[in-house]
Amino acid sequence: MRDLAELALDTAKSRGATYADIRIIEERHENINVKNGAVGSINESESIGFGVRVITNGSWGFSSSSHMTREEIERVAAEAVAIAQASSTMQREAVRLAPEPVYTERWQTPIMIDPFRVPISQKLDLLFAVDEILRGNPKIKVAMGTMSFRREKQLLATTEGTQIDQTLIRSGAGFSATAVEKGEMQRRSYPASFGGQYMTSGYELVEGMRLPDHAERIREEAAALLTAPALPSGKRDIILETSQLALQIHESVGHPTELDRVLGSEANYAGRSFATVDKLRDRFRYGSETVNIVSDCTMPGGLATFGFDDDGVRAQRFHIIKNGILSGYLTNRELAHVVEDPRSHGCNRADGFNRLPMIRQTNICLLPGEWEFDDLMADTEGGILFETNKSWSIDQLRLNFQFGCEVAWEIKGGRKGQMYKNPNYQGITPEFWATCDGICNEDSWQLWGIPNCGKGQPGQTAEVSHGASPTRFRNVEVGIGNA
Amino acid sequence: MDQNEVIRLCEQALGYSSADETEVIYHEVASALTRFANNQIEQNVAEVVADLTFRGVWGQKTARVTTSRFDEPSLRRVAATAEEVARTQRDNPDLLPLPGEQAYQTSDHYCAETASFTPERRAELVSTHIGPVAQAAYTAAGIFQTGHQAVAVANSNRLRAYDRFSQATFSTQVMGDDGAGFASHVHHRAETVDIGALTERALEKCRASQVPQPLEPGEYTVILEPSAVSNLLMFMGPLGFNALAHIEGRSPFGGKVDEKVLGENITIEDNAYHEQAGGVPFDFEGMPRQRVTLIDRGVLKSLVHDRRTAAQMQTETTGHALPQPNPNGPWAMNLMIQPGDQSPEEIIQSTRRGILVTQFHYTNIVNPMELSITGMTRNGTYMIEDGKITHAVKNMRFTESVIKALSNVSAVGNDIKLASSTFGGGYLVPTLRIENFTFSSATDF
Repeated sequence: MRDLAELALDTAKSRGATYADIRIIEERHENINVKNGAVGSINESESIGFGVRVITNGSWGFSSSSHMTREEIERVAAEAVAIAQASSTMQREAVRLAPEPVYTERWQTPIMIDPFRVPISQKLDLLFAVDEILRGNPKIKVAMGTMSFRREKQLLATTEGTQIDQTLIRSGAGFSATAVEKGEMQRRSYPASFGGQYMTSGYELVEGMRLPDHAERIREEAAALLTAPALPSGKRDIILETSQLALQIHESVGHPTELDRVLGSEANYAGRSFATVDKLRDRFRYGSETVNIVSDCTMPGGLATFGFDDDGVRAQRFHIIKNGILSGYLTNRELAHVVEDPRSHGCNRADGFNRLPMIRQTNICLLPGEWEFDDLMADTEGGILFETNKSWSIDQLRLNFQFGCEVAWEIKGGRKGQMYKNPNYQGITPEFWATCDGICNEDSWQLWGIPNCGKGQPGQTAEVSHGASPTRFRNVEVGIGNA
Repeated sequence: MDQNEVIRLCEQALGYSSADETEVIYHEVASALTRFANNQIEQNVAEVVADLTFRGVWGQKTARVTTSRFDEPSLRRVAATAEEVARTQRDNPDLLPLPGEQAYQTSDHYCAETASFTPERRAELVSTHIGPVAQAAYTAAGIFQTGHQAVAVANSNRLRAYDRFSQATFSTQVMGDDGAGFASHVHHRAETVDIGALTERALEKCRASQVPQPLEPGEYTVILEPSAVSNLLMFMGPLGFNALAHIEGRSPFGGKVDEKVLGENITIEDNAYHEQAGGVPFDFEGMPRQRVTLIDRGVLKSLVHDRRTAAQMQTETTGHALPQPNPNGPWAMNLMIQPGDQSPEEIIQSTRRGILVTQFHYTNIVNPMELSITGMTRNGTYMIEDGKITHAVKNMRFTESVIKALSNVSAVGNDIKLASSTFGGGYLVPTLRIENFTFSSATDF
């Protein structure tokens, strides 16, 4: 592969590129779905390809292909330069990259059990065991269990001399039960919705989740929701459990602090951000003093845990919000200078070989506070505990959000009381985070993987993680659209 | 690769199979995209990717393996891996034998010139858009994408299906200090992209969007332009018209075939053959895709099927299968609301008080059984009073049942347009005026 990489870089330079890099990506995926006692689908896939990114006349050009031949490498590298030349006709300011040391390194996700060496039959046995329990209640019309594994081998080579080999391995699993009766439908999922939990990990993640142990509770909660009342409309104190809070962080902190988005690059698609650059300078109050949020690509298990990003920048940890104040953006080498950062925060990633790297969310986590979970519940009498995301929506500046969850409970005497179906809540980002007054400690802190973050045109999917412990917000609008 | 080369590749893969029956699906994407923002080109990318999915059937067991490598050892390896994976499974009693040879309609959605559009030409056209925007002291962000896709299905029962389609998409958001305008065009022929007209439309909307006034949440008469209407259909395909959702009791239209479910002025069909659509004339089982009337003047007439749901409901497939076996069931990918007889201008002129919505943003399902969804307005929301646009209004969040909304349509436009909805999907829809549409909360911009 290294000779092909050299060929691409040489071709780009000889055509006039002042900078070039090539990423050669080899991926393998395995997705297993068991539904209602039968295999829903089993898909194995593999792909290989390369993308060449160049700067010519101060503009980016990018081209890619899945044909791994010397002729195609030369064609694609030349095309990338031609595209950059075309771009430069409509470019006001030349691209400049923040400096980064040159690396020659290897990095691999630490794992205990290679998920691709675990027999499919063993995986199916586990999913069928869960499926059988879920279908133990006749109200469950759809029992679904999934597993998903991914291995990505990357070679990044640049004209600056960097050569990085990385192997990233991700595992995921989960299940859901959908209950149906008399025109009503309700779903519960474990350990989270939309496929469950995902981490950079081996098969030990799946074994550690003990999926069958939770199937009966989830089944009965789904059935009970059929006759539960809808969460009434009104203003209530709420506690978000960690997987819902992960999505709250994702939509209202992660996306608004992507610097390319702040600067308008996403305007036509996913939108812009209220967290404009002047707010960083003016120490904008994003939330209450108790809110501390970091980006950390060095932590174990995160879907954005790696050695280096696709700019070849080493993984880092930094504050986005410190004591409630906006303190930093997700950046790359191209845009770090805009906020006068001497170095990129290392957030540039691409979805496969055929996409241009762009600023993506990372492992963005709410740092733990000091509350014991039981104490926070006891201190929130009459509040509402929200669990497990069901839907999400937020405006193009990331201010007005509305989230739906699978289930909510009224908090009575420090415990879960009345169960509610169709719970949702709505707020405005900085106003909502300003009401945060109770964050549980590290005993209940949990990292969640979100494998389907969408951004960019053409569309790119990124795998990101968010960690949090259960957290309280005061006087929040709930039950929108309910009586 | 051309059609003959693709079919030869599929037949080569079929030849390496030890299965009782074998199916091969080929998919190729060649796409180039110029992305602009802040009045300059920020990304310019191109890709050529193709993959081949091999599915073998051994008795009542099956497995799919996909590869982007087409050399002989790779194709032999995917065939062997599929067998290895399939052999570990339990029998699937619902597995159907693969279909035989089929006849297809032609779709005629391919334009060679569009497929081979150059980056220089895209940059040139983008510059003719950015120029007037910059001159008006506004900022543009958007894309110009061109390319093509090819799909083939072949199986060991001599079924051979191949089609290709081109696509050109221009989309722009023109922004001022406190409001934006939007215009887009999607078609399989790049020559239909009228940059001048799209620029003028986005500029006009942007000018009218400045100095927006706040509006209290509540029920309003709304006029939804096609880009906004497309969002109403996003969840109707997978939940309302998907036969598997009906079988599993999770459809809001469950048990309501031949019942009135929407207003009498609403007729919806799935039509891959419309001149403006980009549909393929077969599905992922290789079955001919039918043009299906789903809602006829408000009455639910039909669902979309794959061969498995058709067998379960004792009917014929409509040719809407996803790759099999599939837990999601059949998919209506080319939904179309029949146009009415009023122009969008006439609809505005006949509205005493209402809100004109250009686009919705980030819509998502709230309650599947009521088909209630939530989302935000975007890129041009205006107050209409006595038949005229009087001022812009600040963006609003809606939370509303699609069933209720499409039962309260008081005017259907004659302006059918292929509209992409946010985060996927494309639908042929007209402007609609809807009564008692619920905005649930507001914003300050």
